[in-house]
Amino acid sequence: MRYFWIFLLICGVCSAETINEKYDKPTNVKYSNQGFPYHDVSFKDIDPKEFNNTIIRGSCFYQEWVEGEVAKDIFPDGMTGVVFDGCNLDNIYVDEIKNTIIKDTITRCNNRKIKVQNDWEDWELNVDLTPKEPLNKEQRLKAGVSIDPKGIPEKKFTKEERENFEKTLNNITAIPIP
Amino acid sequence: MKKLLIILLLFLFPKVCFAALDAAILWEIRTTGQSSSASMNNGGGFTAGAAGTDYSHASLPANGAPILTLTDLACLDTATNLTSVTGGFTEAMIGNVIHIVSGTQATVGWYEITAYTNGNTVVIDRTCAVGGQNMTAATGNVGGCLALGSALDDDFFEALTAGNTVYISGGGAGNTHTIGESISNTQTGTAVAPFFVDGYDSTRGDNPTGTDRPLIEAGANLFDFYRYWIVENLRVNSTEYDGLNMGYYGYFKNCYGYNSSESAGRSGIFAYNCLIIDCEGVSTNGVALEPTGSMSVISCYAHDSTTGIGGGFATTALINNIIDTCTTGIDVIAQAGGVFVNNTIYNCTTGISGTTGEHIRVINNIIEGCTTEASWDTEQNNSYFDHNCWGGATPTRTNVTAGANKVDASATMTDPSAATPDFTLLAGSPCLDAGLQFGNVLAAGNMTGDYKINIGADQDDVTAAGAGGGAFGWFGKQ
Repeated sequence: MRYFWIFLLICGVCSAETINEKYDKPTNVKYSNQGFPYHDVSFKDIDPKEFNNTIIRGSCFYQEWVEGEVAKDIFPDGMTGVVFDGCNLDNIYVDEIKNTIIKDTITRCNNRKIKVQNDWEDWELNVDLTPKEPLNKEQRLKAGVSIDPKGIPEKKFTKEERENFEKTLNNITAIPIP
Repeated sequence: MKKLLIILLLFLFPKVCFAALDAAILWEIRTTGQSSSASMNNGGGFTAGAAGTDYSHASLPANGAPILTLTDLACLDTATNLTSVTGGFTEAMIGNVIHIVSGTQATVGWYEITAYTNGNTVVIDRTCAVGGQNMTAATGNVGGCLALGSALDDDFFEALTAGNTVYISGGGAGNTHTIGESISNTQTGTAVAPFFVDGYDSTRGDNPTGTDRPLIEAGANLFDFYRYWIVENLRVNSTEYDGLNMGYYGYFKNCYGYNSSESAGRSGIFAYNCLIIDCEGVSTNGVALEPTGSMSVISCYAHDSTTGIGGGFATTALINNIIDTCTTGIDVIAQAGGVFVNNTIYNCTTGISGTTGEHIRVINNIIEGCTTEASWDTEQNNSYFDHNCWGGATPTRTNVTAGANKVDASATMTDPSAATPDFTLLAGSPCLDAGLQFGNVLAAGNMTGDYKINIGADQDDVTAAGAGGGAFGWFGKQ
């Protein structure tokens, strides 16, 4: 019995099933590996048939945070059966009952909520829209800058405060000031 | 005997643990549109000059898939032999990279196959087992090309060795690279062996221009290079604060940085102690090109931004740039000893704005079509302004002494306000040969010759009729 399970495990690992095979859908060539402007993009007027039952790979649909909108609803009503793979869907609403966002593999989609905070930095938000962590986490850690949301200033940085913060962030230790 | 063995082990230990990827590895990044099986799980690299066959580029399968995938890989933590009962290794795999993506006690990452023993065993550059443990049941992919858009994007750039070249393939529609996370590597190259990131269109080294350059869609993510990086032939869209960013001793060449954020102050291209050359920057609500520290910005096009070129920079050289349609053309902040030579600044609210900047050298520039040509908070009597063309008979210069050789007239450029602008000088322009010459040096008589320099970025001598030098730029407005 033990060997049976090992056999099943090996078969599962070895299968190297492609996303297309797994979901039995074709790649949507028109909307794959594309970039779109980061503001005011809408596919609402597009026939959902252009999207339905296809795999969209490697495209950037990201929209910058708009105050008052938790996530931008840009895809056509009635869009169904779409699998997003390796796409940037930050700040984008996708009906995940009818569609699939692959998030749990190495090649994955981002579907975060991102908003600029008082330190002028982009932060990923929690479900309750409180700041979770900065997007430039690695850069901040490298510079010894806190990634704790508690460190976000209560008031928005002034331009001078921001410039000083930026020097720290970029390891700029000394600039001759006349 | 036991002591001898221990000594031998101590001798071998550093070799096993501290070897690294070869400096000559060339990496290949494509989109899944170009190669459907391109993935960060693949090997993706090949050592230039190695004995084997390059399964990441030259002999890459059309779909970009690995040439071999094994799921029973094993490796001792004290050895660099990588073994598989299933096998399938060939001698042609020497020089290829295998990506160990998972396994029991595996240190996942990219490893170079340095030698072939037999179909079941190869030698890799360092052990892939966790220290003190032996790796078993690991999955690895030999060859294939990489594709950005995963949780491994940053890890990949962190895994590189100084001297490595990362080729990013494919411009044009449908070949966009969407990154999956902020890339902010801490890798430091050297003067002898910097890192290279080279965009290409259809053939490595073809130096594409315009939209033939690969497009990186960063979204809100950072695309950040650390020290000694050379980045060429890329377009990067972002809303991140310093979306396309480099620190120390490298350069951006033929890159286009576009920051469309609605937040103020963000930059198209940010660099510290580096060179930005032959690049284009736009930041709709911020700074197109933001040099900080001891920087050079040469032959760049900064336009349609709040600020064209600006930053907390020192001893910065701005040479032969065109700055077009910005609120402020050049913003001099905390600047000492800057040199601005042969730039053309057009259609800005303020051409050059100085606040805390001192002893600046502003020579041979055209500042035209601006509401205020130059403005400083305090008088700049130790700065050097001369041989500049101020665009009209009554320019506004605040706290600036224009110099004896100023030109208070229009530069008469060909068509600077066109959709694809042309900043070349027309025949009869007062800027022709009006730049700073070797006048007094020649007069001293110890050298001779006819040296002529125009004011502005166009150095054509405009013989006979019309503008010379053709339309502006190497790659045109984006």
